[in-house]
Amino acid sequence: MSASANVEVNINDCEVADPKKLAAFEAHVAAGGLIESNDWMPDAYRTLMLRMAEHHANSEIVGSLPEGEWITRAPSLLRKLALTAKVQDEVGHGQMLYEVAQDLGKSRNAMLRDLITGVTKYHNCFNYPCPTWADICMIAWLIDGAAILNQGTLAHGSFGPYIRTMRRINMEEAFHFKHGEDMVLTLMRGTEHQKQMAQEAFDRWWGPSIAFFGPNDRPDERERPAMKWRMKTATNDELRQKFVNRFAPAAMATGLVINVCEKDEKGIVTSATPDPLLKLDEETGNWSFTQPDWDEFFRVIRGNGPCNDERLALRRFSYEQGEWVRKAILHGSTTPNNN
Amino acid sequence: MLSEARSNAIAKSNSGELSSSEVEGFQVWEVFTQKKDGDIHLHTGSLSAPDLALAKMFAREHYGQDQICVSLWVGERDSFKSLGGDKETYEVFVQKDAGSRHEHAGSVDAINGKDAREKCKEQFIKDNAFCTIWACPLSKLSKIESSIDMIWRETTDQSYRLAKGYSKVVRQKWEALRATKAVDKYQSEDLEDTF
Amino acid sequence: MSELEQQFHAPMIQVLLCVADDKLFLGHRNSDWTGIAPILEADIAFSSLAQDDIAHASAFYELMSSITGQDPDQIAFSRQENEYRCADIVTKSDQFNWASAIARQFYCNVYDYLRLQRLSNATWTPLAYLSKRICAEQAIHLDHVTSWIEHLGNGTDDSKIRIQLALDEYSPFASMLSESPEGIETLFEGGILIDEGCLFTAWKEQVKRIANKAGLTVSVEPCSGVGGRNGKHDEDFTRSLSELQEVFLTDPAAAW
Repeated sequence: MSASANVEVNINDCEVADPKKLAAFEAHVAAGGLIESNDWMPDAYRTLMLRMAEHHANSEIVGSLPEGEWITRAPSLLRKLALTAKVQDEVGHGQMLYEVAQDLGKSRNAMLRDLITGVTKYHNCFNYPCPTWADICMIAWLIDGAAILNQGTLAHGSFGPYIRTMRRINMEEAFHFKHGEDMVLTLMRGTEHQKQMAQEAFDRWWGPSIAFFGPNDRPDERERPAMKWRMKTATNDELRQKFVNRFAPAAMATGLVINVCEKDEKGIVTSATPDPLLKLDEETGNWSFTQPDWDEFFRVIRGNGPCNDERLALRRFSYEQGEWVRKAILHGSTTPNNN
Repeated sequence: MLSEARSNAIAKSNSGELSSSEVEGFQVWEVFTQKKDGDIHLHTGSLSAPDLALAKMFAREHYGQDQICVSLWVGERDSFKSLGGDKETYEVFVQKDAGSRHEHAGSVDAINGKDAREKCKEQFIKDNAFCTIWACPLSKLSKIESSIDMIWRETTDQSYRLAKGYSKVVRQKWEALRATKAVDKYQSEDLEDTF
Repeated sequence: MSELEQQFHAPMIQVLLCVADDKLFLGHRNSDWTGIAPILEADIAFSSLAQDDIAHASAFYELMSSITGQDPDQIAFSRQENEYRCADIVTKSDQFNWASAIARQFYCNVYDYLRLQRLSNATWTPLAYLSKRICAEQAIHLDHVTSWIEHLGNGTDDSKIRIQLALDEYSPFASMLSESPEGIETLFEGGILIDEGCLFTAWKEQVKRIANKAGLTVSVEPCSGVGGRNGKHDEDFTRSLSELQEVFLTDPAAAW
């Protein structure tokens, strides 16, 4: 799950496309046409698509770590099963997206190594800590809810292999979201302690959720390659508004309060006050709301989020500890059980 | 908040240059699944594995578990895309247009991959438009049938991993929440009036 | 028969807990591997098996619930340490070493399979029926772990050494899989369970056969002393239990 279409890529170094071919390509895409692996595409499109798929894949497998932290503490048999399945799905999404990126020209090994060494990045929201069980509930409801909105639009993109992957991912994301909703509703109908835990987790995750879609739209958003070439089909602000319209009333209906929060560098909430801007415009149907803390967002994006080191350390451990296994099955002396 | 095992792992993780120089990957396999008897096998995705045994294991657990699945076909990508080959039966798969998944069209007897594609066009596609054709020699395609080798778990209730497993209970919880709020509101108004 | 006589309730509960607790904790430990395994595809596959084990455990807790009336989550989460009936191999720490995970999986999966096969012949119908159905899924686990043993044993010199080391390290813990739960003789004598000979012997033969085919050796002694099946657990189990119960115990009566 991610808003990887916002990945900044320097496409000025890309091979300049033949103008005739480029014009035909752009007309095809603008008319709603789709591109498959064997079709001609400008070098810049290939590069941008690869980086997008790679960033998305990175986000899935790093994103699996915060929730994975709580698998062993899930407090019922159903929650154990569902949380394990959710994290498993995320590893699966990463796998499928790495395949898409690999087919565009970068090996999985190279991508995993670049992730571990900090050369490539992953989605901002996976830099935050998950101090309680309620954080897991909120991530599944809010972040997966945001991902569905985002990925729903990505599924109308132009690149065949990527949109096919989006369709499959969205099917699983629906389960993640519904399960998240179930967990949040259970907490909000539970004990005072559970409700308080839920409110505190909500305070930690509302900001990252509305920031999920990326920074505010640039004035020329629709002319930039990502939208011009239909890799993303909705703007960040459009999606953000949709999200708030859906989730603000839902959150309030459960009894949660939507606060504007300040956080310290560890991701701990230091202050929370009800959002003074939160109001429904009856005519437009849009909720007004306080924007996320963009200063904090950009600080975290520059690679120094509270959990960045720890999560990459775990990914690195996994990669290095697994090398002997990969070598064993690749260079095995006999290949057992052929057929 | 990490599990103990994960905390320990992080503590042991290396820093600095990556010690290994590993670059080799595994070959890519394509996977087709059939939802139920009589359905067409559809392309579900690809995976990386060094040999057939692991490719089958991975295919079953990754692509055979998102919904009920009675049959799973696995073959190396090269086998599907090659124009060369020997004289034998080929399973042929057609992608009708850009954005669609490859679908199993049928079997043809051919002398190589190129010939299999020609036969596929003659017998199955005819005058219709199409995007690409894959042809896999039968000898290079592994077929797993759930009647012999279980794929989708038939015994244990899998609804815990499906969105529809939660629809009813979520609806009930929303209704209960709203009912409680309505009662709370009623009672608080009641108190206001009285006091 | 479909009803189990009162006199057999207590020993049957012990047997059900042995099966369920083994699977709960194996699944619990293995689910922690999700996101960490050496290969993405292998990660996904291993996680499927962990889910199966937890689902199987749930089914056995449900069956036990039909005798005791207790809620399955309460059975799974709320007992004292000495009331759990798993063999401690299931919680022995693997430090995220894949060889250790496979060695443990190997010993446990073969044991689970053979045990379920035998329970399929019980004369108490609900148990026979459940065991038979779960045994069919257990066959997938057996295939899976056999494939890994073969790949690692036939892999590089390095992988062969590692998996052999792990098999040797887990061997004393594997012995304790066949510790008898209290009162099981009552069930044999009463004809509820069919005595098909020594389970340890059958299990040992099968693990040896699979290991030898992969160029590996297995040496396991019969169980000795009192262990997990009678409630005596080690430190690794204590730590696993405390993780399992951590959130649950903040409010055992709450819904989560």
